[in-house]
Amino acid sequence: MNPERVINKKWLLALGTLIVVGLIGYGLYLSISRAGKEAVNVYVIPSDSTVTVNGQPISPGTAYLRAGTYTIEASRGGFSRYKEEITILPNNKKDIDIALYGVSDKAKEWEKKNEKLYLEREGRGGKRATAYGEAFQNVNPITKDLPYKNIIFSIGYHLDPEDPTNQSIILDIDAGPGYRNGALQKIRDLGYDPSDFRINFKNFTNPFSNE
Amino acid sequence: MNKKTLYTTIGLIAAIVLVILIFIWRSFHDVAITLKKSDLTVKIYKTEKDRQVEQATISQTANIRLTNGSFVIIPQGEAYDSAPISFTVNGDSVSIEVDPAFSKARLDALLDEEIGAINNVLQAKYSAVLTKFNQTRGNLYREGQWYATTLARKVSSSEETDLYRLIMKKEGAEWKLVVAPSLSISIKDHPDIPQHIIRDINSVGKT
Repeated sequence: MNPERVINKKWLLALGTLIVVGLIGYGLYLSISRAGKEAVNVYVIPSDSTVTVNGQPISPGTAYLRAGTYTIEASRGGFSRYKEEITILPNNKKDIDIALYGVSDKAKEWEKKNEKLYLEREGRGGKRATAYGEAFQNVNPITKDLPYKNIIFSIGYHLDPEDPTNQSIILDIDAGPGYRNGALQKIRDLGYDPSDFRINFKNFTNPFSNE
Repeated sequence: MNKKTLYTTIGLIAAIVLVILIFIWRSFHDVAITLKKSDLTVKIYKTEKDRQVEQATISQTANIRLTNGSFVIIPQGEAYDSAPISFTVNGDSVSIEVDPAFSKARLDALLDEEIGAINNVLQAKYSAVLTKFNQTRGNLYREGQWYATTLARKVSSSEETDLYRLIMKKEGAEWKLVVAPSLSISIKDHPDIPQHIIRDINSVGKT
């Protein structure tokens, strides 16, 4: 056998082994570095804006963050600045979707030329809203029947501020004295047990609360 | 029939009987029944089509063996709530805890003894307001350590009134208010109160 051919084969084998080991090692590194973190899709318009999470720069694409609260900032010369606090929960379904708007003439011109990107962002927002709405109604089926109103009382709801997932609700009953029981009965008539809800009675002072 | 054939036949029959016995043994499963009240007796029935077949009567914590199927445990006597407790045996061992509340009659009798102390606590806390309200007798729950009642503002017969619900608990020898009079009580706000008590007192006044 030609010694040169043997040497070439050995080199090829060594290179191939190196590549495979490198890929495995990289895969292991990614698994370890992403362990315990949530995948967060990051979109930003313009795409070359500077985006930071708690002061640390990140790139558009997928970021991996531990559950917690973060300050997101984005900026680009000539465009508005963006700053928001977000909470990432376990099994995260939240995206970071930022749009900066032109302040300088040049930036405004760029914004007009790239209107399609801003429209795509609105589409993403619409899809997220639809998915969120369906999930929300599954968790709170009573919301399909609310708000309810008649001449004696009304029943509505608002998000429970104590729930960071924005999935829990508090029912709001607005009824005159003597008719609040009627509103509770209506909740039963709709097929629900008032015991399962936190209920806020509007325009109501509990006579026992100051004792 | 020669000896060899005889022994073979006997061996075969013995093997078949053994297999059948093992099959019957394995079709039964361990059911550990823990009675949380020392003076409680329960009967266990198997539900078969449209009838219930008694399986056992036990008066203390016991392990019994039952075949696959649906069963109910019914506390006996007048001292405890006789509401049936259902369970299923489905190929595996099962553990059941039987902890019935006192019967309605027993709780009503207890309430006769406790209502004075209960009312004293409410009067001490709400003396100025209670004069404007009618208080129902209320109910004791579980082993008599929970009490719930409703208060309705005194109005003329033609007017509608709001109903307020409250829950108290006896700790040691003292009754304490655990839920102040409220129009509706939320299970989410009171995870330490048995849910059935909250649902029951909230349902007062429902049509």
